[in-house]
Amino acid sequence: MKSIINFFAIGALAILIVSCQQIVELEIEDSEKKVVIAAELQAGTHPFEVLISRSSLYYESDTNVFVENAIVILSDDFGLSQLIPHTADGLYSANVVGEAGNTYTLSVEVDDLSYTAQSTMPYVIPLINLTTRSSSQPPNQVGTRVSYSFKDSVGIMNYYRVRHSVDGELQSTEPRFFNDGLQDGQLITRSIRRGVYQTGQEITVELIHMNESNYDYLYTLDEIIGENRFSNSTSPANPITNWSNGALGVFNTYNIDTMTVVIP
Amino acid sequence: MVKKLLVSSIILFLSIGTAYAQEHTISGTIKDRSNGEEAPYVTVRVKELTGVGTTSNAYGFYSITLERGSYTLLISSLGFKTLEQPISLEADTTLHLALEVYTQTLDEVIISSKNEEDNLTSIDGSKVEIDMRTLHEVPTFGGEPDIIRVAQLSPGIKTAGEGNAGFYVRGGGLDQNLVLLDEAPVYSPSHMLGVFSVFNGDALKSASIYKGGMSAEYGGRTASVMDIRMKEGNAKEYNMSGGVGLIASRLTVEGPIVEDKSSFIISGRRSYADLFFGLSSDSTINNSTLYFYDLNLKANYSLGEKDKMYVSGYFGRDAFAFVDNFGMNWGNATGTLRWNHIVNEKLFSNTSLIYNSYFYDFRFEERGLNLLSTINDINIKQDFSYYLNNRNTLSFGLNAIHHTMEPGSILVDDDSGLTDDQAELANGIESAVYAQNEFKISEQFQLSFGLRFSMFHRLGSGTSYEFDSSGNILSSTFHDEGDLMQFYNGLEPRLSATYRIDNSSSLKLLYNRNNQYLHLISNSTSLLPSDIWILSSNNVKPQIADQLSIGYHKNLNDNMFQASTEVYYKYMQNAIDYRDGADIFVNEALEGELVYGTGQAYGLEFLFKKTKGQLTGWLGYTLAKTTRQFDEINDGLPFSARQDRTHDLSVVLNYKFNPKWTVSANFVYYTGDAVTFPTGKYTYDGITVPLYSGRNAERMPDYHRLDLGLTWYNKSTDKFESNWNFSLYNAYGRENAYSITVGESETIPGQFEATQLSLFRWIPSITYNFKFK
Repeated sequence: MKSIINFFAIGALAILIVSCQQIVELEIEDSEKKVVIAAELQAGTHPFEVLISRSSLYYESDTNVFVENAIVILSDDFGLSQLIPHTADGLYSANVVGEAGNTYTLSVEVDDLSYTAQSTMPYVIPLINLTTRSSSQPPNQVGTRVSYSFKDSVGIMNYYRVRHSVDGELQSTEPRFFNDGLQDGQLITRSIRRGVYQTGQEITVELIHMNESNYDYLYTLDEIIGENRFSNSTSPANPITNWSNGALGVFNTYNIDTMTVVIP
Repeated sequence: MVKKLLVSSIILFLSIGTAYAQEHTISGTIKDRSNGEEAPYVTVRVKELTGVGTTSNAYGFYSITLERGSYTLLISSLGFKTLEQPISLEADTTLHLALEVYTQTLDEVIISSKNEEDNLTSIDGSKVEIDMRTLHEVPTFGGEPDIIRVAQLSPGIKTAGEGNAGFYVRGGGLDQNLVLLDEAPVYSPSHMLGVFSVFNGDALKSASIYKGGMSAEYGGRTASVMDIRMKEGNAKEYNMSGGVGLIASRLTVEGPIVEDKSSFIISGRRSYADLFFGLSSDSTINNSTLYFYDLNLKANYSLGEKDKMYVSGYFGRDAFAFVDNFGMNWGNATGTLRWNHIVNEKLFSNTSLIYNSYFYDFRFEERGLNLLSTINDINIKQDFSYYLNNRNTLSFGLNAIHHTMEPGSILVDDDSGLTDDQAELANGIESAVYAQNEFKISEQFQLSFGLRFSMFHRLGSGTSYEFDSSGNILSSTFHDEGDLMQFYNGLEPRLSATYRIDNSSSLKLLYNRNNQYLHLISNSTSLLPSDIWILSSNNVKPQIADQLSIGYHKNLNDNMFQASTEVYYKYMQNAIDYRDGADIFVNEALEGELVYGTGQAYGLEFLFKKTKGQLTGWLGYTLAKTTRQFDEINDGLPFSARQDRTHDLSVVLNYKFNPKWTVSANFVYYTGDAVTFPTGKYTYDGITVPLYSGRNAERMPDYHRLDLGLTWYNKSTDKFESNWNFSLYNAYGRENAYSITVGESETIPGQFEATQLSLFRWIPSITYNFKFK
């Protein structure tokens, strides 16, 4: 009897939701293999790294095609320029001192085509404090929550990204990008979403201050690949880049302030 | 331009009233003899005077003014025998007429079911009429006869995809169709996530779709009007009819309350697949819910010869829950209170008070939140038909709709760690005044022209936002309750001209401009109930569409074949789309994600129809292009709209073997939708990122499908008739793509692939339809 009922139930469901999933081959035009340049310049003295590769066909299983013959030059407002040499596997690297307020131009020449991007190093926005408060929402959220505060600078649009680590391990559950849209010049306090910590854990918050073009890139990139979003983009498109000449990736300059708290 | 139009309209209005001596008016109501219901849009011609005639209005009222004398009226309509009525006109006369339903039998194939040349002479150029009487003979999906599915088989009306009650008309969007049920706009006309439309065929009297050249009476959407009217209920006798299917059953009861004075109809439907769920021991099944029901009610009462009151309503609900993970409930409700009044033998008045509401409530168990949205409208409509003389029929009136919309609120559980996000209610009043004149210039030439002046008041309370060019909020302003936040208005001229070339052919020209103040923001490609309707605001300007179309209609072989070809061109302003990479799901700054541009649609539609004989049916083909252009999208280059279908073919055949057996078949083929798929990939920050070649630059696979149907009529008696319908949807089991998702393979890391989801291979169904008389 049970099996008859199941049969009917499954049959009824089947009629309504008869579906079938299969892998298909789409007829798509092969896209040209574009140059991808990922460069991040942090304020202060840090190794400046530029990774240059090429895109591949979507359904091909090859992954990274590194570009190793590029000429990479970083220059600034004062006319100083520096050649960034190739180290290995498409990575170009050198020590650079990033100064807030300075506008950097990165130019890359690959196979007689040149690509340039500009980015201004933002000023540091300091974190004021990290605060902890106990959370007792049952069943599994018992522990301590962490909030961070900072003072937005007034009159200009500021763009932020926040990262946090737990015991030195970088986490990625934060809504990573935001701007001061309706909170210009205010003291902004946010808590680490869904983060509930236990006594003794060490929480590090990094407040990354970046400029608009970098924000636009990361924001639009997140819209097509983000895993923490409520839904995927309605209108997928390539992220907005500051590279000229159709190169992918971004040239990013940013300033970081870091603060750590141990859960009491 | 507008001024010129106004002036010429006025001159035309004045010049047409040339008075004759000794004129008298004959007027009255035309009914269906079998059930006493009013017969709308019936053609009334005068046999002795070629080119003289009129059409009954939506409520069956007609009026014609002639010189005194003796004439013969020819009264004809789709599905009725043509009536010849001799009259002797000595004074103003009231004459109520009743038409007999035409039932086709094999011996009678020569007799036509309607005035066979109506398709040539009618002023409605781009109108598709659905014959309710043969609705159940078309192969059905799951045994449910569905007007929207049948409509989608006509050229120019395209399905929004498998299992989707939405449709595209001539390149317009899903939200650009005005769907009216007894004058009440229906916002989400779908059941079961779009598998069925909300319209129960048993309760409907007529359904007409205007692809262009719509009368000035209609407004508010740019692409089309689907005007659906419920039955009024048999005023002569009680009867009960219904159908029992695999997925749902229907029951309709109708009859007189007071014979020939008052009648009612109640029609209900419910799906019952879920009744089996609870009996199952499988917890995935018995914890799931999936059902819909709907109820159509209507009653009318004649208050003497000149007045009639109607009350009608629709109520429908859907519920769907998958185990405890996800649930959704949604539904529409409409109510119409209507008063028809014959002011005098030439002037007819209709007053309607309409209420409609729509809601949805989604439950996301894992995230511990509910997503809610509601729409409530109150609508007042006053229409007049004035039968000025035997060449001119005027209609004019006004309309005001008050909208209250809650565009999407989030209610969260206490322990979710999130906070409620109550959306602001948006208020607005959409109003219009209109006038339209149908002018029979000569036997050859007919003209219908009108003007609609529409207005939109966006009212507080509410917040308006200012955005910068990349969609970031710059500032916001709060407006108090009742404050005017934004005002828009527009003139919408309409024109429709028919020129009869000879006995068997005619040429039709249509022009219309439509404004739209309500917009659907869809987070999906299909018309899901979760879509959000928004009102025009300081950011969202009204959508405007201008359409011009020319059609050539030709009847062949004594009207056995009707052929027509139409070309159209449409230009759209303030078209709405999303910024690249937009995320519109629960977004307070939603308007910042929208961009505004222009659109173009043009195409060629071809229809070849066989209307008589054992074999009837049609072949429809559309060749079309639909593009959009936005500065912010695709580097400013025009791109294909999703619904850009290069080819769209549908073939519908119906063969009556004998009075007992009818077989039918549909075949559809169309070019796959324009969509955005990645064409390449690259690595950024250790993550594989898809590379796109442009908005909607790729295509879904082409769609095609064959459906078969067989109807077996049992011997009918005076008291009872019944039939069995067997349908096979997707007869050759084509795996059409419902959706395609691309991403990394779950089994082979590093391998990227496209996964196609197909629905509905070989769906057989059996339905038993019956009627007690």
